Amino acid sequence: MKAEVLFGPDGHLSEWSAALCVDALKQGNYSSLAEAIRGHVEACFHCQGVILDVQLFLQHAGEAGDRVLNTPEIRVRRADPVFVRLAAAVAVLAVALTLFVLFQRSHSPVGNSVTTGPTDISSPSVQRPDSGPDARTEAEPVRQPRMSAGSGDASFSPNANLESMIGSRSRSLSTQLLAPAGEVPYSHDIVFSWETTARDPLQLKILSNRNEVIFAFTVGDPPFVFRERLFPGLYYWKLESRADLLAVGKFSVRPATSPTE
Amino acid sequence: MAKRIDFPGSTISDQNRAILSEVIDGLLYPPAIYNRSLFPDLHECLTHHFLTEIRSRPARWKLFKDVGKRSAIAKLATEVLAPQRLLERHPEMIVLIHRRCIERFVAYKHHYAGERTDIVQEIIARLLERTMHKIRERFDFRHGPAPSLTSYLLVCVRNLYMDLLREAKSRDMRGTESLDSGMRCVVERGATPFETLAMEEESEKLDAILALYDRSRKKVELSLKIKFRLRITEMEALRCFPGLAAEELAVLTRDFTQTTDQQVFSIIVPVFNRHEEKTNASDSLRKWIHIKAEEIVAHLNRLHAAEVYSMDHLATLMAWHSRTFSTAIEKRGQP
Repeated sequence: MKAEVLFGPDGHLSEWSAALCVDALKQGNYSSLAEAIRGHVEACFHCQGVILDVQLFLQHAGEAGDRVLNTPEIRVRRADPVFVRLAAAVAVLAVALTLFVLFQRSHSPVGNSVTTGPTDISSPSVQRPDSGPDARTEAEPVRQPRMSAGSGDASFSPNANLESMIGSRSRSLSTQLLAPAGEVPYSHDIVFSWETTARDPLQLKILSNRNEVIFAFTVGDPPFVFRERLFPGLYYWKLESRADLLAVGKFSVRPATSPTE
Repeated sequence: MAKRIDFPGSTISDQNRAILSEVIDGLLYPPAIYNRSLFPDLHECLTHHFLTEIRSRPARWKLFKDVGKRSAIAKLATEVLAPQRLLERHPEMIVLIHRRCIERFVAYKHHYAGERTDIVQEIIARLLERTMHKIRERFDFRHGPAPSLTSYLLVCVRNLYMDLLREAKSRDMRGTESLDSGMRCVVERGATPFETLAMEEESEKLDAILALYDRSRKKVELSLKIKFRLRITEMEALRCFPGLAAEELAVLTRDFTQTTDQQVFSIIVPVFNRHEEKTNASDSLRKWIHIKAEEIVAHLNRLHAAEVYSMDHLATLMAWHSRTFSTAIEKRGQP
């Protein structure tokens, strides 16, 4: 060969040697490769990765067409037609149900926001009287409030989707939400507390009972003190790692009982 | 079926076209090596190039149009289309015929669909600018144990892809949430018929990873099964250590489910030491297999471009793998 080099200048297998390994594995004669190559691959994570990437790709591509790819798009193509039809029917039903609920809400009597909500809120969405999150947690809001929590009965009605998620657990990680639970008074700081085995930076999201994210924070160790003000209503909160929804909890903000509160 | 390529004023007979097609399939680019699912437009590319080339030389064009003999056309086609000729004279054609293959590879590796087109274009540009010249210099078809051109090119493509990722730094290979959650379910339950195919794919990946451990593969497999408290058969133990005595077999095949890691490895390490002629402490063996397990988990996650696997999942997959692959291993004739 013009330049048979088993190893590159970086000490890893050359492309030539890596390709030889790929072919040998494909043809089932890996043991016929040079001892130096096999010995290196056995101990080198990097070269194992190069070989695996190409070999598995070719191995799967050699089988019937679409079986290859672990991409979500390709998996959709493999889905059973019956399953697809069923999923489509469920999706149509879900859309119809959502439209129905929205229609119902838009025609239901509006709650008395003057009597149940705070009277001194300047913003239509949320009052933000002081600084953001507690400094001890070094958390910073990653999203601004987007909606009004509303008031009246509708703001306390449970969300079926979110309710079903309460109590569900991440498969690999153990997380327990400690606080808040139940009612918290309006105008009080809300202390979020939890226990988890997750090590990543976590996202704490506060959602309305319409499943809309109102606040999201990147949080460190608990507790996290939320100093914003939420309208009275039912809220849910989620704790998420980068890849997992760890837990879902709920709490309600009780209407102010006195003008000073 | 190849699409018909016609040039103005260059119609060729169906007979010659069929012969050209036969030569491509049977001689130059056999489907066994150039899998048509990876090279769906191979015929179009090659036929187009062939006609372009011979049209520029009237003598060859006349020969091709008039002769109609298989041997003459085969010779002509070999002169123009053989992979070594293309690599020497038209390396861009090698890239062109591998274009779909490269696209599929990028789709296989890169989960952000919106970025794939740019990545493919960048890889092809770099191939044409630099890598193809290097391949042309280094690749020798006459050399005995040569890899296939496709494998060689794909290793280069894979390395270019990794270079691009490193350069971009904007997004690492993580975070395909749907895949992540999907795989978590698959690995966790792994038993429903609908997911069996996915588990088989995972098993194949694990098998491919284990194959790279070569001489220590059997030891890795045996130790992993012990680590994960999977039942070991006498056959499996003997595959790893053919000269096991009866009492040693009894040690390796006993039920360790109620035993701690430290106890397990202190029980089995004398057997390993005796047959490997080593004097390892039990902790060394325990740490060694833990590192191997971590490597395998890292490979599996890397292949998914997501943190799909934990050690627990590997245990589940090992159990599945040893069920589905034990027969295959025996068929492969491993002792």
